[in-house]
Amino acid sequence: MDIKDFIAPFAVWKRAFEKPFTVKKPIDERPGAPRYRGFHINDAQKCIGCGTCEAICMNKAIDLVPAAGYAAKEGDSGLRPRVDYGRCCWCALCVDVCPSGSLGMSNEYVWIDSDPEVFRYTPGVEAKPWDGSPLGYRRAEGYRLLEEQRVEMPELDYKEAVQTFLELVRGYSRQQAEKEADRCVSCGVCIASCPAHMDIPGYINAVREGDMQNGLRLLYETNPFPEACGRICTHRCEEACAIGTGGDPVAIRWLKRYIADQVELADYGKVLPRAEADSGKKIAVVGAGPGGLSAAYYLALLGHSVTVFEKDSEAGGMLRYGIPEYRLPYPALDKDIGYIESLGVKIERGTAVGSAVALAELRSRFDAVYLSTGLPAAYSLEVPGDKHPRVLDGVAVLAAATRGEPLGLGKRVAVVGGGNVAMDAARTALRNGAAVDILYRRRKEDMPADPDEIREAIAEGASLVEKAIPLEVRDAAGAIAGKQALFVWNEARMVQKEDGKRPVPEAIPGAVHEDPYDSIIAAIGQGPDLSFIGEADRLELRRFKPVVDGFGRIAEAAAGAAAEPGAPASASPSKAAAVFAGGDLVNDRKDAISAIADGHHAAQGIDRWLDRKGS
Amino acid sequence: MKRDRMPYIPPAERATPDLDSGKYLLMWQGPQHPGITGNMSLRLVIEGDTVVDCETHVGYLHRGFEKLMERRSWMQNFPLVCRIAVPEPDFNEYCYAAALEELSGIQIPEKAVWLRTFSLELMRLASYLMWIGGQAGSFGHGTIIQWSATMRDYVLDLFEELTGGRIYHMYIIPGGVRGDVPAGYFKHVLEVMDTVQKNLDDIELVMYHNAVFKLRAEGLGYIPPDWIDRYGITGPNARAAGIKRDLRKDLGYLAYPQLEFQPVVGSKSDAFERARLRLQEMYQCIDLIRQCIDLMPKEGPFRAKTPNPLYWKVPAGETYVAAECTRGEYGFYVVSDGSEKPRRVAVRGPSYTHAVSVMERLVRGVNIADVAGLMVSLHTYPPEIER
Amino acid sequence: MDFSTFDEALDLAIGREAAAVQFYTDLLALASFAAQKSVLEEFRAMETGHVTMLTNIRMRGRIELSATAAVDLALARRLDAEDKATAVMSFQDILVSAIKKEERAGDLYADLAAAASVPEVKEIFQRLAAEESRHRRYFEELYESEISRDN
Repeated sequence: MDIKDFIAPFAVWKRAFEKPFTVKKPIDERPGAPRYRGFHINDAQKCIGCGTCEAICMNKAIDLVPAAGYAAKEGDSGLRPRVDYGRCCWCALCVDVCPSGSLGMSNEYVWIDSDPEVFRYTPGVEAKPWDGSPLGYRRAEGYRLLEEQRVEMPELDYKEAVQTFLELVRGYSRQQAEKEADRCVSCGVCIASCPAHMDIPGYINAVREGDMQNGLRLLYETNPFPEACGRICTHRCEEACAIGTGGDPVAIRWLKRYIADQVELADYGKVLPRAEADSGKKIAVVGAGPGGLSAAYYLALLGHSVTVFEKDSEAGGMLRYGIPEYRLPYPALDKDIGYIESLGVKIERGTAVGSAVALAELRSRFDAVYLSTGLPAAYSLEVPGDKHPRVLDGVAVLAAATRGEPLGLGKRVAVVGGGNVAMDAARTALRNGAAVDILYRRRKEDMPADPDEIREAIAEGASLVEKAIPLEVRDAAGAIAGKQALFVWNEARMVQKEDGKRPVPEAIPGAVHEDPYDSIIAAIGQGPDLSFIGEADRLELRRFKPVVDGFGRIAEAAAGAAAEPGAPASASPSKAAAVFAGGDLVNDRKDAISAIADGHHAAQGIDRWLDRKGS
Repeated sequence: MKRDRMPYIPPAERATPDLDSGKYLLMWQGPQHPGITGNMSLRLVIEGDTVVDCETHVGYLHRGFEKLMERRSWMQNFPLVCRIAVPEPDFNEYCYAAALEELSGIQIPEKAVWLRTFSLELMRLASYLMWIGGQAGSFGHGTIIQWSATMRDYVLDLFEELTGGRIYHMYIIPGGVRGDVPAGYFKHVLEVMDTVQKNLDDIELVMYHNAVFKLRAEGLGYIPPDWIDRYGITGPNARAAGIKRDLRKDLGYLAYPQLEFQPVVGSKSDAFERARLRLQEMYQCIDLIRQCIDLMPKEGPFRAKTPNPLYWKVPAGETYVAAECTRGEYGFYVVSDGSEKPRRVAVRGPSYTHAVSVMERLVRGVNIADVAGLMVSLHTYPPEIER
Repeated sequence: MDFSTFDEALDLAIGREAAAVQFYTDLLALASFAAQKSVLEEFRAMETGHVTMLTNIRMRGRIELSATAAVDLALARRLDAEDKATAVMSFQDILVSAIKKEERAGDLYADLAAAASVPEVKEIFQRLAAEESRHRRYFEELYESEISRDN
């Protein structure tokens, strides 16, 4: 102890003359730091209600609740997160994980209220003073808890691809698939967008877990064409994907393909459900496309005996005759169909209903009939000269390619149309060594084809001519008359003629072009062939579509005076079996997955109808 | 664990006062919440104003963290661990994150290494500033805590600016950190460091060159060096006994091998020596923070990619990650069975050894007025005793 | 050809609509399957409705048609009208015939409006032309959504 120990403490008396550290009104004068984790804010327009915030919250402080003004729609659950400040620990993991980046926090320090209920609120829906505040905690630049980038799908080089009909997309390896599957947050927003409502988070989780058998089982619950859909599905699910709101959507389609590719057909039976005991009912399915075979599969599982009538020599419908093998190789399709056939589904190939066997006959021989005949007839260009021998129909060209017939397209080919058939026809022509122009009436962004297909077609060397209105097809002059055709088209500009409708292409006067082509492939649209339904069948049709009820059953016209008024709808007015319909023939989406969904749905409808009839 | 590995205490060392004799008074200190030491309680037997016997009672603050963690996913535990030790949560965050990274084989970016080192040193400073107020207060100096709490608030402002939180920073996330420093941040840090340093000079004058403090603290709570290993005493408590043990040097984790510093070592091993040593460490913290700012890479990613937080499965295995916190060795023993949740997480907080068994021994023969000061001189936080 | 009275003008229009009903009746005779018949019957019913509407207007002596012409999608003029109706006519064939028919009717009324000297009659023809343009537009939209989906 020395003297300093007695004197030193007095040295800090100097502090009495210094400015104090404290401030008078700390709340007023000191706002939170720009990164301060205050109260939640949510851009409710940007939020899609995926609930990833709810999933990561370790305190269960977040609940997804219906929010006024936000209805469920594709890619939006219609729910919004509600935060309970009795549970929240302000860790802001919800902000970090939010796929769309809609969540944030204000830098507010204080919120005082005498009503405890207000501290449980739905940010962005219930207005708060800090809404829209630019300050407060946000996910830092360059920091994501979720992977934004999709695992790149190995593909053939386009220069190489266009030389062959080999499959362009190579498929994921196990490591790639598991990495891609790990991007999914299992929010399930995609399920509502899938026409077949497949259990997408379920099977993606199966990939993550490496449990292919469970994955396959989940796929077959709603879709007996995983190999095909894993390659060519229009993947509306990926448009709804929550991860897609802040990065690339999860490659749901490729993961489906991965599962199906991993399991050998011989092992399918060990994994998938067995058919129920024979019901004794016989059902005819017209058309062995994805829709018809999907109905056949689910009907067979229910114990019914199913016969499928197919006009072509092979089953698969548009999957086989409409989609080229570089997108969907035949062995993959055969695997899907092979499994369905292994359940005892009989496919009468080369048997056209209408000519080989009448619909009425099917209705007397079977207990129910399902029509899934699709849209086999290409519509014509409907311009003068469209009957020229060098004007071909896109569907027919693709079918001929499938059958291995020589196409004889020549060196210079025009494809008219912007749908998937047009893209497939163009790419098939490219693979046959032709130079291809795709002429479309509107703009590239209006094209109904899958964006991937457009991208790939262009990458493979097709040139896209937008805003080209077909005017006329003329025969070439001279020696090549009949062998070449002149395609006359008018350049157009897009004009917004009416508010709220899409712009209309309008011909630019004088901007008429004339190009010679060896072949002009028309792919402007396809229609049904309903010539097999006669008036005597008394099935109700409207504008070339069967009129169906919720289960796909075609309404039947009343049988004259015999029908008793107010008779229950299920009671067939005739003795003939009820007819159901689905697929492209009926629905407006006109893709394989919708047809598959219709088939599944109709199978349940038929089963219920048969039950009701039996009792 | 085998019994014979527990420290041996001969029965003779513990007094058995006859409570019925009327000579003794049974008195409870705590549990209430007068800050950091009051969450536990001491059952004191006193004779006059001298403590004859003591039993430490813990369990008043048990929140069951270790068990809770077994029910939450790996990432969900990240905001949970910081709550284990309230005054210095970052060490929990670091140990947990480092354990996960080790088990998963994740290499964190250079920038994250530096930002972690930086934030841990800043945390150490804040924690010491809180301690010094408590130490002075428990010996009757009310002024020091006014100063040090202000200084701590300045440091917490820095945390707020960097991480968005003042107490629970939740900054050291598995894979790295949650954000780079904001613009102009280090300028603020250096300003605050200057202010803190100036205040520490004042505190040294008032507190350490102070007859009252010296009289009460010198010779109080002497820890013999041979207790260090027997009781698992670590950190400043061990270093004050002359044991040169500092995990920052010994383990060389994070960026510490690149920083220039020597562990502060004492010899007298009493309350004053420990306090003196901690003050020196506070200056050392300020120095290390300045070094970090100088050496830290300016650019670069601050977080490595980690698996999807909702489905992160840490490969099966176990690890023990330790770090030198203000009070000694802080460690997380993490066991994974390869699933989405930890199989077991055990937290080794230094307060467990210091506040329970060591305290019981040291308090005998001490004046009851000095019990609180003694407890603070061991720098214990009951929250981390009860995980 | 000059029409000087309201009734004369409407008689012509009613005659045109009756001819349209007959047009679909003729096609119906050719139809070979149910889908064709249902569409043709639907379109014929529309034309029958027009006959009724015009007859009512003639009775009331006042034209109650909007003067706003529909937006021209410029489809009608491009479509090839050479095709003759056949038993295998598709939905496309039927729609093209319908569009062409409405277009011809609209053109006729427009010509008559131009030629008319009596202002009242001129207005009647203008309104009838506008009415036909709306019919044409209806079929054109159907064509765009159902037939030319991919182009």
